[in-house]
Amino acid sequence: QPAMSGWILDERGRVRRHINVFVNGEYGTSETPVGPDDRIDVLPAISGGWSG
Amino acid sequence: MTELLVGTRKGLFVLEGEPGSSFDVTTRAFEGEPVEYVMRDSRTGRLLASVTSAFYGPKIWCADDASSDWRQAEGVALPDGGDAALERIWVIVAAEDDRTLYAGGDPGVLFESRDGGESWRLNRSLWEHPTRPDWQAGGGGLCLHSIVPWPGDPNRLALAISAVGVWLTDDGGVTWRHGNQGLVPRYMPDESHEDTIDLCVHDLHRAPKRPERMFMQFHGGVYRSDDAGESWTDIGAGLPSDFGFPMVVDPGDPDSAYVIPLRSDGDRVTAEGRVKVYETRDAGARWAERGDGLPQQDAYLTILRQAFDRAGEGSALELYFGATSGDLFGSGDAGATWFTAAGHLPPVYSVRVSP
Repeated sequence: QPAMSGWILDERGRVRRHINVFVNGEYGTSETPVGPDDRIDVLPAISGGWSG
Repeated sequence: MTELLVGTRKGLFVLEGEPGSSFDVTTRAFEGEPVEYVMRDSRTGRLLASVTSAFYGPKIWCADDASSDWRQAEGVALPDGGDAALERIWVIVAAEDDRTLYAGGDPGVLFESRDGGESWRLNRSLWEHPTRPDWQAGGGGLCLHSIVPWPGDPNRLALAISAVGVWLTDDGGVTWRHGNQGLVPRYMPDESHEDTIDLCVHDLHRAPKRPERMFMQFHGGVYRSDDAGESWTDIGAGLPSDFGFPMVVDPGDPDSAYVIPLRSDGDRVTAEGRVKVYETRDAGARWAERGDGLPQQDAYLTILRQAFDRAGEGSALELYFGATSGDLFGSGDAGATWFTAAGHLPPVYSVRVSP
C-alpha cells in the first residue's frame, strides 16, 4: 500500500507525474473538490513505464 | 567467485562467476523498475539500492540479501513544502568510519546516514549554498554522481556534480569549497572559461595510496590533480577521444586510470564500432589501448557513468563494465584481455563489484 507522503505526493505537495487520481470514476486534478461521500482512486498511469 | 551488482532499466541483477567465462544471474529484484545504483557495504554486508519508480519517485532500499525483503530507508527526500522534488539518487558510498554512508542525487544534493543506511538526512550546507540558484544541470540532470572519501580521514571528501564541478570539504560537510582550477569547459565560450562554474564533471576518483592524487573524466577532457582536487591538469592528449563517462583506478597504483572513450558529446557511442578501454600507468603521460576480446566491429555502445567498476588490485585487478545495449564485459588480468560476462541484460545503468 503506497504511502501518501513521498509516494503519491512529492515534496512540493503535488501528485507525482505518472499518478492519476480519479474522483467517482472521473479524472481529477488538484483542483477537484472532494467530500466525505466521494470515492477516490489513485492509479499508476500507463505513461509511467519508462523513465529514460 | 566474483559477485556483480548491476542496476538496469528493468531491475537489479546479481550475477556471479569467475573471470574468463560468462556469469550467471543468481537474483533479480525490483523487477521492471529502474535501478540506478546498487552497492554492498563491506563493513556490514548490507545491500543498498537506489530505485527510481516512475510512479512513486526515488527511494533507497536496504536488504541483507538481494532475494530477501527490502526495507525502505527513511529521510530520502528534500524538505517538504518547497519548490523542488528529489529526482533520483545517483550514488551511495561508504564513508571512512564504521557506519556512515553518503548518497548523492539530483538536484545536486548530498544525503548522509549515520546508521548504516536505514535513515538519511540532507546535507544542509550544500543544499543551501548561496550559488545554488545559478547551478545548471547537465544532460542527465543536476546530478551529484561522485563521492570520494579520503582514506582514513572521515572529514575529508570530494564531490562531483554535473554540471557544477568539484566540491571539497575538510570538516565532514559543514563547509564546502570549489576544486575547479584548470578545468576547461570547451562547450562554453572562451571568454567564460575562467569564471564559470558550469563544469560538467562526469566521474571522479582518488588514488588510495596517494590520496592527493585524483583523476577525473570531464565532459570533453580527462584530468589529473596532485593537490587533492584543488587544481587540475589535462591528461587527455593521448586518447582518441577525451569524451566518456566512467573511469576506474587500480588502487594499488596511484599512477593508473582506465577510461572508455566515446566518439564525442554529439555521438555518445564507442567510436568506429569498436569497444576499447584505455589504460595509463604513468599518470596520463601515455595511454595504452586495451580491447582484446571486446567487440571490434559494428558495436556502437554507450557506457554510463556508474557502469564501470573493479575488484582487487595490481596483477589481480578485475575490471567490469556494462552498456546500455545490455552487454556486460569483464577482465581478470587488469584489462589485458576481456570476456563477455553477460549479453542480454536490460540497459545497464550501474555496475558495482560486491566486496
